Amino acid sequence: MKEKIMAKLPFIFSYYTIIVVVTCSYNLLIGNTLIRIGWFLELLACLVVFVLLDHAFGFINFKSNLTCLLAETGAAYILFLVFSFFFHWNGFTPGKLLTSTLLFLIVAVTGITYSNYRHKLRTKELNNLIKKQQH
Amino acid sequence: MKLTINQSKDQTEPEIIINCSYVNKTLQKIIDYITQFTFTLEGESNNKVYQLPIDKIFYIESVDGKTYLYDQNSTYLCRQSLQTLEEELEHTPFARISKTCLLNTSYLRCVETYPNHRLKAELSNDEQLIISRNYIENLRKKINS
Repeated sequence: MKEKIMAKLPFIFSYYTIIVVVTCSYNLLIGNTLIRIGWFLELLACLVVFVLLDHAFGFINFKSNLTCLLAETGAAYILFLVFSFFFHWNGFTPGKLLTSTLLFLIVAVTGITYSNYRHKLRTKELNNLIKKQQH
Repeated sequence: MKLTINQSKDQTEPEIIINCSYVNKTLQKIIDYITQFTFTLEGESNNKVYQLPIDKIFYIESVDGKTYLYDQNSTYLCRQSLQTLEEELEHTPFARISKTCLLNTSYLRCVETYPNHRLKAELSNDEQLIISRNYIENLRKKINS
């Protein structure tokens, strides 16, 4: 159990960093220099919930990367909207919804790209270990 | 470390004796490697019972609550559960790669990426198995050990 939690930490930390950087950059751009302290903990809670969802997705046998990507991103977006609603992160006017969706997509694309890169690195590392074992 | 080999026609069965003051990591690796040649798993096929040396088994899979052993040519039903086999094979090249499969990493040729952050393992007999993402680290540790 401890190993499973430790394995998920890089995922949480990398997404946490990306979201904080994107959100703070956006706020600076629009001249908003105030952020509620509570938001940082709410964000962490949101990511922990997403990690649990992601773990559940691991048991589903997706036929292609695309269906997997769409399912996970869709679930993450719904989770984001739920947290936004309950913790009043953004308003739900069309303009604000569009902005927050755009920010979500920037985070999602960055996170997924990084995640895929790490997965490829891990695959390469494993193949190197297998080659070493064969020799 | 000294290696002594005594070859004699009087020996009916090869015997390996390790003399040491304590078992270090290197010795443990040697012992684990030799162990896979010393024990067998019981498998049934066509109403016959076979004693299968574990170094000949490619992988073990659980299907519909039953455990099957797969070698180069055949499939055998095993009466033991996957969980029990995993414990027995802890110090051998077998690694758990999913909820239902134990892979003999000696027969692992390569891996490639697969949807949902899983991996596809290609074995030396060209068979392919899916490695669940939750077991990738487990596999890496086994190959690295």
